[in-house]
Amino acid sequence: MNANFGELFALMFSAMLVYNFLLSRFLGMCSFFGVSQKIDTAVGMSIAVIFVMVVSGISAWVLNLLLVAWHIEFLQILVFVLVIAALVQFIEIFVKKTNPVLYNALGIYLPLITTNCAVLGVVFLNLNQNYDFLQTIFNTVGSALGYALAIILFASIRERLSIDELPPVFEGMPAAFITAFVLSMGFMAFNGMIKA
Amino acid sequence: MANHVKIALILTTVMVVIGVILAGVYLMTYTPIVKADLNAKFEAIKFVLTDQTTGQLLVNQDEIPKTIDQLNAKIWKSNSSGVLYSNPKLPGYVLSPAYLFKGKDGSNIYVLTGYGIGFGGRVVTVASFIQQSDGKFFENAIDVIDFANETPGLGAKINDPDVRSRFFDIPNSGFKDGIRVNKDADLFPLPSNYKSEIPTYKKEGIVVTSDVMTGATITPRSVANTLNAMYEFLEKEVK
Amino acid sequence: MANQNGETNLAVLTAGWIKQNPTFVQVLGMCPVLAVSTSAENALGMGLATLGVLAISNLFISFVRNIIPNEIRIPVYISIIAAFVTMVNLLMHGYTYSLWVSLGIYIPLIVVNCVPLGRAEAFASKHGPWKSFLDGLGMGIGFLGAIMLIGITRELFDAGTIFGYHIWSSAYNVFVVALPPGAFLVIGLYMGLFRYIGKMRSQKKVQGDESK
Repeated sequence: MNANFGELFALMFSAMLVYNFLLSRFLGMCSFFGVSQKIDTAVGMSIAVIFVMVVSGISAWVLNLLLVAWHIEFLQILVFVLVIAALVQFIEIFVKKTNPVLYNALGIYLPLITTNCAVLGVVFLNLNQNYDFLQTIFNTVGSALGYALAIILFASIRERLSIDELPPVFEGMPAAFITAFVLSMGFMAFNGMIKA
Repeated sequence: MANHVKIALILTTVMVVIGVILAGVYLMTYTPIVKADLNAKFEAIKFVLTDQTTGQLLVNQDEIPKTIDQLNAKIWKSNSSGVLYSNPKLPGYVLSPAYLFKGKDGSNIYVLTGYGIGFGGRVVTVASFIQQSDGKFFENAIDVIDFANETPGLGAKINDPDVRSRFFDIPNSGFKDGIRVNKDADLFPLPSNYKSEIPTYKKEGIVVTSDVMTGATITPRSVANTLNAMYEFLEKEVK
Repeated sequence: MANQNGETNLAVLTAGWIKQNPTFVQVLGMCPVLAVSTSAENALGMGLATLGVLAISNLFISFVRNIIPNEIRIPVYISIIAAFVTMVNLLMHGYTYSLWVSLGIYIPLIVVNCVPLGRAEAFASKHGPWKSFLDGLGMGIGFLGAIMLIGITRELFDAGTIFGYHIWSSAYNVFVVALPPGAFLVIGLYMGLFRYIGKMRSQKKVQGDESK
């Protein structure tokens, strides 16, 4: 696995656009529908997710070396979930102490990330693909950016949609799902970007 | 402070209890898991050792491995790195170990495992190559054993019987310049009589997939690349 | 949720079926519903795995709810859920290999499915073991029903089959349903349909009341 930088960037962009976490892997759906009514909240959530995803992606990669070395891979799920939960807690305390403004902006989203499957999802995908350290970093960053891109786009559409007149039975969630359908179709067009 | 210690103690106790219980379940399921993994491997090997047109086994019944020892006895080449051959340009990789079986007619049948890069990561394929009397290789059948990251409804159809069968029975001539899917061979859209022409295309190294896998090119291309790497590996190692 | 002891066991069990259906009403735990609903078989496997984890983890969390200090309840709940998910993962690997392969990383991800943790926090931490078990079971059944409905629909329109049995010829197939975007479409349409049915029902009720 001696990937050069071109390949690493290709990996990052494909993680961001082609295998978009929200729109083609369906990970992190709770937050996708839960905090996308307003662009502001979507941006806040994105920043929090990027932060936690990158840090936990890297720490999980390192920790997995230990788990493999000690032959206790069956504890993977438990360990990774706890690492993410602990990280979220730690980041919360750290941000609260050092940057109250940022804390006020992110505060309510941080605890939600513990149950955001996108974070644990990227950890397991990295492991499944046997990525080395650099590949893990680039894939994680790409996935996190892809998450941000999709949720912010989606929130923008929903914000605009909320002032439109819709058939009453489709107002709210059903319309959100149909919007996600259209957006997801759009992202499928990125498939053509991959060339073997 | 005492409260903190109490909390830490409770948390530690919970973790230790859970850890011990999980270790118990792990030990209990260890044998079935090893068995299930092996069985999947046996199934794949048996499948590719079957002549797909007649449904007859290519080797004697007792040649089909049923235990890990019997399987290990069939190892032809293996190494510690896990990769026997790689062609990053395709990209296509051949994994260790490679197996060698003796066919009913005395021919050598190589069973190889390899992978190419599909839409969402590795697409792992098991394939069998028969060395015919003139020394040339004939690819008999494939079984795609891991395509978990391919798109449902698109690339994930790769192991459907009617898709998989498009990769069966490819003669040596097809591998000369490498096999490719029909979209990469400028054979798209397909002519109306293409179904009867499929064996001819195979001789030219063209695998028709666009009719049974609408819209998906990356996954079949990765399987084609895997087979190309396997062929290159055999050409290098057998001759 | 301020439901007190007045609730009957039956009401607890059935709440998750329709009225508080985790998928269609609460819109929780959507990742597996969208991702592994491409065929009825996968949907059944995922639904049963989630149901098992939900019911048993609810039961255990209810047992320990009084001895766990409030500050660390979330980590403890998560570890209990993670423990059961690991067990399900190991058991499925050993005994239902092909299903395990096709569900892939979505089994470990049951841990972060919002439904089990949500029910632990909202119900099991406040109710006795028996009721919590019933709640987990009921929510699990609601989840199973929803994912099955979507799985069957998607398989039917993708391949014309249900559980592999031939239903109609491929001429009726709508290709897009099997693709990732199709999952959003099917769920969105079902949600609209259920709302429509709910509205018709309540209208009928109003009319019926008026005519009396």
